[in-house]
Amino acid sequence: MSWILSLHAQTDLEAIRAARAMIGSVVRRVGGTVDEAGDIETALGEVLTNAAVHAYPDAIGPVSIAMIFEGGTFVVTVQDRGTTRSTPTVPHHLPDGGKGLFLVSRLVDHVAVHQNAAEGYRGVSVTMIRRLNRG
Amino acid sequence: MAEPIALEAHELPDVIVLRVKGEVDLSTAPTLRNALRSALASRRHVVMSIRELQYMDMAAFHALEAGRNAVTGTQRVVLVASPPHLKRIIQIIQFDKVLPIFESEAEALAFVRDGNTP
Repeated sequence: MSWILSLHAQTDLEAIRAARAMIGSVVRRVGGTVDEAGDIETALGEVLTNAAVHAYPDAIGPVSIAMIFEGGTFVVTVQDRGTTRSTPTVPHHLPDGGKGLFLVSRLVDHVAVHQNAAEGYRGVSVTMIRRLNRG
Repeated sequence: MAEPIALEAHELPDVIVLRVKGEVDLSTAPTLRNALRSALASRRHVVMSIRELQYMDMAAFHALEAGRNAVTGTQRVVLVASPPHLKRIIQIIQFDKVLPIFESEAEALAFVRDGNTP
């Protein structure tokens, strides 16, 4: 089984809540446990919150969310078109401040952050990979 | 829009038990922070129960930390957490170094009243 589902959303906090609830429900639907759904929902929630706070500090902006499910693994990519000032890095150890990405890195198997400085916008994309341990 | 957070305050002579249900994220975190601050303004201990909380992220933990800064004198604030995925978040961000964590309200009440080690 392999499929793709993508969403175009805005960093409105109610839309963020709906998007993360949706992914939690998708994880459950393909056989993920409550805990796996909770982990992926929280990871997506953190990344979307970062986009709302850092990419669009003074406004609401567009964000796209793409989910790929293949061979029992979720790959979730969040892309904004905002103006985050510097590329966020994933800490290896618990930092004193800005714990969000560290939390994300522990809730999923792999997380990668890229920033697109081309063409005048500096959108950040965050890709998270999490395998479901079913059966 | 329906508020996705619900708070229930159970007032005892020396402790306020705050039970939070629903979802705490960036949009609802101020409600949680303000509830904790008002409870602390009563000068009683506060037991915050997230046993029936469905979702919380860093915004919720920031709210708890900010609320806790309103502690005065010998007041104690503790957290009751049992859902496994919330306990895992607490462990990852080491929130047990910010607030003592208990499995049940009974243990939490015993701690705030007697200072028993968790």
